[in-house]
Amino acid sequence: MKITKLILLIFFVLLFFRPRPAAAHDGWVEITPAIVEKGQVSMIVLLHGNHSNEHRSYRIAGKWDQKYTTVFVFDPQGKQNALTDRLIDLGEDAEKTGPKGPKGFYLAPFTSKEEGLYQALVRQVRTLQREDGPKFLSIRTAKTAFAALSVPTVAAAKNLKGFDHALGGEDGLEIIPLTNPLGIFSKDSVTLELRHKGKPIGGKEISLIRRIDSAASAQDRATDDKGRVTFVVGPADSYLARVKFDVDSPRPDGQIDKSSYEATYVFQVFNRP
Amino acid sequence: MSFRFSIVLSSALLFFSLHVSGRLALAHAYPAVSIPNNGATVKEPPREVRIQFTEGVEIAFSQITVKGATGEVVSQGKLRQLAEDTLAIDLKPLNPGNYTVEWQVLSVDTHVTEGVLRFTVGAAGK
Repeated sequence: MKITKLILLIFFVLLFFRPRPAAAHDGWVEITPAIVEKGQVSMIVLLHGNHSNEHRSYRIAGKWDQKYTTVFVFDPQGKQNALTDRLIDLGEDAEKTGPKGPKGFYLAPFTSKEEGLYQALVRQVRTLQREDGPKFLSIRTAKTAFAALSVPTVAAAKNLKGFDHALGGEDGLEIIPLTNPLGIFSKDSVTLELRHKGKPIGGKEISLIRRIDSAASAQDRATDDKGRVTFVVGPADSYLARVKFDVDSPRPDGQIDKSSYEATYVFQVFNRP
Repeated sequence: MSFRFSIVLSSALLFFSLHVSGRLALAHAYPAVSIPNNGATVKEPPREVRIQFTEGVEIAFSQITVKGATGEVVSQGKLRQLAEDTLAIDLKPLNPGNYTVEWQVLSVDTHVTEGVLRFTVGAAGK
């Protein structure tokens, strides 16, 4: 009987102190197709799903919160094109859904006017504070890139420059590709840099998830002291890199402000020509 | 209790505690159950509104405000956390009429959700 009690005690201790997933859902942005003929329409899609919980998949869960979301496309000259007011809601109505909340996505069409590399940046910023209570800040940054070319080929997109510029501002978390995201082939190495408030940050785990294989394909790597991490990609498909962490900031009055930072980056992997 | 049974029990519990429970999904918090229920008509005025969410919530960053048909606030006092996923707010004495419950919570996975529930006291909503 003593052994049984001991076993039960250990069980409840393990249950209480079990490791919990660091996060759950996160938002990402996809553009289809990733390489288009100049003057053609690209569809920018804002999705929200299951990358970071146990599913580790592209399964849709929830929606971006449109009230707090901004969408920009940076053209080859670095000029910002605001698409926030052009978002079309193709998801469920929040007032008519069950206890799990609305699911779905937003879409914005964009027509390229010149040749070159375009980058999409989506940010969702939320703050909460009740009277003089603790403050909560949440910043989510999602990025991806696409190319508009007279001859839209992977071989031409591979020569594009400018993909390694920071776009996300000085307050959030941002994944920056150091490898051209439009020239990645199966079995290539891809190096990403993570910046927090504009500076490289080490020791944060970035996960890379392939769309079709989902959990089976997931790779987790911690950023080095330069904020960098390198993955070897698998078969041709869409891949998503994601990272999330929270920061607690104790105040002199004993309350604890909380900040939550999320970042995703989506890129295509192509078959070798 | 045989030694063999103890081994089997400990193995089963260890598997559950390390494997199954560690893989629990975290998601956004939305009302799973509310009292009064969303859309309900109640005869007796409730003294509180209670909401159980689909996930745990952080009370420091959450709020529930109950308003009458003309927008007057009828909730009072501090928000109370009855369980990791359950919040409650006290109400002033309510007259017959329609009421809305505006909720906003921060789930334990640090995502903010919000919405509105409705209930009616007496026959005013009919």
